Amino acid sequence: MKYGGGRKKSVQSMKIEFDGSPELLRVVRACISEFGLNNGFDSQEIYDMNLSVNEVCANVMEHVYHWDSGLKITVSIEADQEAMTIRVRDYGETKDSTQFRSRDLSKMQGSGLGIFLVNELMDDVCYNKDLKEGNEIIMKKYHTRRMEEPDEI
Amino acid sequence: MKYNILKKGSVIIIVPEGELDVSNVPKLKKVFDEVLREGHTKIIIDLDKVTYMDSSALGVLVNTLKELHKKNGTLKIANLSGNVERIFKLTRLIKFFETYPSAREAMLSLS
Repeated sequence: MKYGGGRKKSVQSMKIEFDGSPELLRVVRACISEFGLNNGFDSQEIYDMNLSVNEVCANVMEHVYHWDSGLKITVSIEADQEAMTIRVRDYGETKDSTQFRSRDLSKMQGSGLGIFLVNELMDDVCYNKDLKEGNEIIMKKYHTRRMEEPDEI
Repeated sequence: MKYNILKKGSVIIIVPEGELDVSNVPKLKKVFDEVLREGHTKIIIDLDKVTYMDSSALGVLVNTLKELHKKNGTLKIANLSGNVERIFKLTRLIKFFETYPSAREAMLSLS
Protein backbone atom coordinates (compact mmCIF):
# COMPACT_ATOMS: atom_id res chain seq x y z
CA MET A 1 0.00 0.00 0.00
CA LYS A 2 1.28 3.44 -0.90
CA TYR A 3 0.50 6.59 0.96
CA GLY A 4 0.02 9.54 -1.37
CA GLY A 5 2.18 12.62 -1.74
CA GLY A 6 5.32 10.97 -0.41
CA ARG A 7 4.23 11.75 3.13
CA LYS A 8 5.87 9.77 5.87
CA LYS A 9 3.36 7.32 7.38
CA SER A 10 3.05 8.18 11.05
CA VAL A 11 1.36 6.46 13.94
CA GLN A 12 -2.40 6.61 13.73
CA SER A 13 -4.69 6.24 16.70
CA MET A 14 -8.38 6.10 17.44
CA LYS A 15 -10.48 5.77 20.57
CA ILE A 16 -14.04 4.46 20.78
CA GLU A 17 -16.02 4.79 24.00
CA PHE A 18 -19.36 3.05 23.90
CA ASP A 19 -22.14 1.72 26.12
CA GLY A 20 -21.68 -1.94 26.99
CA SER A 21 -24.52 -2.97 24.72
CA PRO A 22 -24.13 -6.01 22.42
CA GLU A 23 -25.90 -4.15 19.61
CA LEU A 24 -22.99 -1.69 19.41
CA LEU A 25 -20.38 -4.38 18.75
CA ARG A 26 -21.26 -4.28 15.06
CA VAL A 27 -20.42 -0.56 15.01
CA VAL A 28 -17.12 -1.16 16.82
CA ARG A 29 -16.19 -3.86 14.29
CA ALA A 30 -16.99 -1.52 11.41
CA CYS A 31 -14.66 1.12 12.90
CA ILE A 32 -11.85 -1.40 13.36
CA SER A 33 -12.32 -2.66 9.79
CA GLU A 34 -11.98 0.82 8.32
CA PHE A 35 -9.02 1.64 10.55
CA GLY A 36 -7.32 -1.65 9.67
CA LEU A 37 -7.83 -1.16 5.93
CA ASN A 38 -6.50 2.37 6.20
CA ASN A 39 -3.36 1.00 7.83
CA GLY A 40 -2.64 -1.75 5.33
CA PHE A 41 -4.00 -4.83 7.09
CA ASP A 42 -5.55 -7.56 4.97
CA SER A 43 -9.06 -8.96 5.35
CA GLN A 44 -8.00 -11.98 7.42
CA GLU A 45 -5.97 -9.86 9.84
CA ILE A 46 -8.91 -7.50 10.20
CA TYR A 47 -11.27 -10.42 10.80
CA ASP A 48 -8.96 -11.71 13.53
CA MET A 49 -8.74 -8.32 15.24
CA ASN A 50 -12.49 -7.80 15.00
CA LEU A 51 -13.28 -11.20 16.45
CA SER A 52 -10.77 -10.71 19.27
CA VAL A 53 -12.17 -7.32 20.25
CA ASN A 54 -15.68 -8.75 19.96
CA GLU A 55 -14.82 -11.63 22.30
CA VAL A 56 -13.15 -9.41 24.89
CA CYS A 57 -16.04 -6.90 24.87
CA ALA A 58 -18.63 -9.70 25.08
CA ASN A 59 -16.76 -11.12 28.10
CA VAL A 60 -16.80 -7.68 29.75
CA MET A 61 -20.53 -7.31 29.10
CA GLU A 62 -21.34 -10.72 30.55
CA HIS A 63 -18.81 -11.31 33.32
CA VAL A 64 -17.88 -7.79 34.47
CA TYR A 65 -20.97 -5.69 33.71
CA HIS A 66 -23.51 -8.54 33.99
CA TRP A 67 -25.35 -7.16 30.93
CA ASP A 68 -25.76 -3.64 32.39
CA SER A 69 -25.59 -1.78 29.09
CA GLY A 70 -25.27 1.61 30.76
CA LEU A 71 -21.63 0.98 31.67
CA LYS A 72 -18.84 2.12 29.36
CA ILE A 73 -16.18 0.21 27.45
CA THR A 74 -13.26 1.98 25.80
CA VAL A 75 -11.43 0.52 22.80
CA SER A 76 -8.19 2.33 21.97
CA ILE A 77 -6.34 1.49 18.77
CA GLU A 78 -2.93 2.50 17.56
CA ALA A 79 -1.28 1.44 14.34
CA ASP A 80 2.20 1.93 12.99
CA GLN A 81 4.16 0.24 10.22
CA GLU A 82 4.86 -2.75 12.43
CA ALA A 83 1.59 -3.59 14.15
CA MET A 84 -1.80 -2.62 15.43
CA THR A 85 -2.21 -2.40 19.19
CA ILE A 86 -5.69 -2.61 20.64
CA ARG A 87 -6.61 -1.89 24.25
CA VAL A 88 -10.00 -2.81 25.66
CA ARG A 89 -10.75 -1.11 28.97
CA ASP A 90 -13.65 -1.57 31.34
CA TYR A 91 -14.47 0.15 34.62
CA GLY A 92 -16.06 -2.67 36.59
CA GLU A 93 -14.82 -5.08 39.22
CA THR A 94 -11.17 -5.98 38.73
CA LYS A 95 -10.77 -9.60 37.65
CA ASP A 96 -7.79 -11.85 38.30
CA SER A 97 -6.46 -12.47 34.80
CA THR A 98 -4.64 -15.60 35.97
CA GLN A 99 -8.05 -17.18 36.44
CA PHE A 100 -9.01 -16.75 32.76
CA ARG A 101 -9.09 -20.22 31.27
CA SER A 102 -9.55 -21.55 27.78
CA ARG A 103 -11.65 -24.64 27.44
CA ASP A 104 -10.40 -28.19 26.84
CA LEU A 105 -10.48 -28.47 23.05
CA SER A 106 -10.80 -32.25 23.12
CA LYS A 107 -14.31 -31.91 24.53
CA MET A 108 -17.38 -30.70 22.73
CA GLN A 109 -18.03 -27.55 24.76
CA GLY A 110 -19.46 -24.28 23.61
CA SER A 111 -18.20 -22.16 26.49
CA GLY A 112 -14.73 -20.81 27.18
CA LEU A 113 -13.96 -20.29 23.51
CA GLY A 114 -13.57 -16.51 23.65
CA ILE A 115 -10.27 -16.36 25.53
CA PHE A 116 -8.93 -19.25 23.47
CA LEU A 117 -9.73 -17.41 20.23
CA VAL A 118 -8.14 -14.16 21.42
CA ASN A 119 -4.91 -15.97 22.30
CA GLU A 120 -4.90 -17.79 18.97
CA LEU A 121 -5.81 -14.88 16.71
CA MET A 122 -3.64 -12.14 18.20
CA ASP A 123 0.17 -12.16 18.27
CA ASP A 124 0.60 -10.68 21.75
CA VAL A 125 -1.95 -10.59 24.56
CA CYS A 126 -1.32 -9.14 28.02
CA TYR A 127 -3.21 -7.52 30.89
CA ASN A 128 -2.58 -4.12 32.44
CA LYS A 129 -1.96 -4.86 36.12
CA ASP A 130 -1.37 -1.25 37.16
CA LEU A 131 -5.00 -0.16 37.21
CA LYS A 132 -6.73 1.01 40.38
CA GLU A 133 -10.11 0.00 39.01
CA GLY A 134 -11.45 -2.07 36.16
CA ASN A 135 -9.57 -4.19 33.66
CA GLU A 136 -7.58 -3.63 30.50
CA ILE A 137 -6.40 -6.17 27.98
CA ILE A 138 -3.74 -5.18 25.47
CA MET A 139 -3.59 -7.09 22.19
CA LYS A 140 -1.18 -6.73 19.31
CA LYS A 141 -1.41 -7.89 15.70
CA TYR A 142 1.68 -7.61 13.52
CA HIS A 143 1.53 -7.01 9.80
CA THR A 144 2.14 -10.26 7.94
CA ARG A 145 2.99 -8.21 4.88
CA ARG A 146 5.27 -5.27 5.42
CA MET A 147 3.82 -2.09 4.03
CA GLU A 148 5.63 -0.64 1.07
CA GLU A 149 7.91 2.22 2.00
CA PRO A 150 6.42 5.58 1.04
CA ASP A 151 7.89 7.42 -1.91
CA GLU A 152 10.47 10.04 -1.11
CA ILE A 153 9.79 13.52 -2.42
CA MET B 1 -29.95 -11.09 11.71
CA LYS B 2 -32.35 -12.40 9.11
CA TYR B 3 -33.04 -16.08 8.69
CA ASN B 4 -35.17 -18.42 6.65
CA ILE B 5 -36.48 -21.80 7.74
CA LEU B 6 -37.14 -24.38 5.04
CA LYS B 7 -38.89 -27.71 5.60
CA LYS B 8 -38.03 -30.52 3.18
CA GLY B 9 -39.78 -33.67 4.28
CA SER B 10 -38.54 -34.45 7.77
CA VAL B 11 -35.52 -32.18 7.41
CA ILE B 12 -35.36 -28.58 8.62
CA ILE B 13 -32.91 -26.20 6.95
CA ILE B 14 -32.09 -23.01 8.83
CA VAL B 15 -30.53 -20.28 6.70
CA PRO B 16 -29.25 -17.31 8.72
CA GLU B 17 -27.97 -14.24 6.97
CA GLY B 18 -25.35 -11.67 7.96
CA GLU B 19 -23.32 -11.51 11.15
CA LEU B 20 -23.93 -13.88 14.06
CA ASP B 21 -22.73 -12.33 17.28
CA VAL B 22 -23.72 -11.96 20.93
CA SER B 23 -26.37 -9.36 20.02
CA ASN B 24 -28.45 -11.69 17.88
CA VAL B 25 -27.48 -15.16 19.12
CA PRO B 26 -30.53 -15.25 21.47
CA LYS B 27 -32.65 -15.06 18.32
CA LEU B 28 -30.74 -17.96 16.74
CA LYS B 29 -31.10 -19.97 19.94
CA LYS B 30 -34.83 -19.30 19.94
CA VAL B 31 -35.09 -20.62 16.36
CA PHE B 32 -33.29 -23.85 17.31
CA ASP B 33 -35.35 -24.21 20.52
CA GLU B 34 -38.60 -23.92 18.57
CA VAL B 35 -37.48 -26.46 15.96
CA LEU B 36 -36.44 -28.91 18.70
CA ARG B 37 -39.68 -28.34 20.59
CA GLU B 38 -41.60 -29.26 17.46
CA GLY B 39 -39.81 -32.60 17.56
CA HIS B 40 -37.50 -32.22 14.58
CA THR B 41 -34.26 -34.17 14.83
CA LYS B 42 -32.74 -33.73 11.37
CA ILE B 43 -31.48 -30.17 11.04
CA ILE B 44 -29.17 -28.46 8.59
CA ILE B 45 -27.75 -24.99 9.14
CA ASP B 46 -26.73 -23.36 5.88
CA LEU B 47 -24.00 -20.78 6.52
CA ASP B 48 -23.72 -19.58 2.94
CA LYS B 49 -24.90 -16.07 3.81
CA VAL B 50 -23.14 -15.79 7.18
CA THR B 51 -20.21 -13.40 7.00
CA TYR B 52 -19.15 -13.41 10.63
CA MET B 53 -19.58 -15.68 13.62
CA ASP B 54 -18.37 -15.27 17.19
CA SER B 55 -17.96 -17.76 20.03
CA SER B 56 -21.48 -17.23 21.34
CA ALA B 57 -22.88 -18.47 18.01
CA LEU B 58 -20.50 -21.44 18.09
CA GLY B 59 -21.81 -22.19 21.57
CA VAL B 60 -25.42 -22.29 20.35
CA LEU B 61 -24.49 -24.75 17.58
CA VAL B 62 -22.58 -26.99 20.01
CA ASN B 63 -25.40 -27.01 22.56
CA THR B 64 -27.96 -27.75 19.84
CA LEU B 65 -25.85 -30.64 18.54
CA LYS B 66 -25.61 -32.04 22.09
CA GLU B 67 -29.41 -31.84 22.47
CA LEU B 68 -29.90 -33.58 19.14
CA HIS B 69 -27.44 -36.36 20.03
CA LYS B 70 -29.61 -37.13 23.07
CA LYS B 71 -32.53 -37.66 20.67
CA ASN B 72 -30.49 -39.62 18.12
CA GLY B 73 -30.73 -36.62 15.86
CA THR B 74 -28.16 -34.59 13.98
CA LEU B 75 -27.17 -31.04 13.07
CA LYS B 76 -25.25 -30.77 9.80
CA ILE B 77 -23.51 -27.70 8.46
CA ALA B 78 -23.65 -26.63 4.83
CA ASN B 79 -21.54 -24.04 3.03
CA LEU B 80 -18.92 -23.60 5.71
CA SER B 81 -16.18 -21.47 4.18
CA GLY B 82 -13.72 -18.62 4.58
CA ASN B 83 -13.03 -17.11 7.97
CA VAL B 84 -16.03 -18.85 9.55
CA GLU B 85 -14.61 -22.24 8.55
CA ARG B 86 -11.20 -21.17 9.88
CA ILE B 87 -12.75 -20.46 13.30
CA PHE B 88 -14.38 -23.92 13.33
CA LYS B 89 -11.00 -25.48 12.58
CA LEU B 90 -9.12 -23.31 15.05
CA THR B 91 -11.46 -24.30 17.90
CA ARG B 92 -11.35 -27.97 16.77
CA LEU B 93 -15.17 -27.92 16.68
CA ILE B 94 -14.99 -29.02 13.06
CA LYS B 95 -14.44 -32.62 14.18
CA PHE B 96 -17.80 -32.74 15.98
CA PHE B 97 -19.90 -31.56 13.02
CA GLU B 98 -20.63 -33.12 9.65
CA THR B 99 -20.03 -30.47 7.01
CA TYR B 100 -21.12 -30.38 3.37
CA PRO B 101 -20.31 -28.05 0.49
CA SER B 102 -23.99 -27.34 -0.11
CA ALA B 103 -27.39 -27.72 1.56
CA ARG B 104 -28.38 -30.13 -1.22
CA GLU B 105 -25.52 -32.50 -0.38
CA ALA B 106 -26.36 -32.27 3.31
CA MET B 107 -29.95 -33.14 2.40
CA LEU B 108 -28.85 -36.16 0.34
CA SER B 109 -26.85 -37.47 3.31
CA LEU B 110 -30.06 -37.53 5.35
CA SER B 111 -32.23 -39.30 2.81
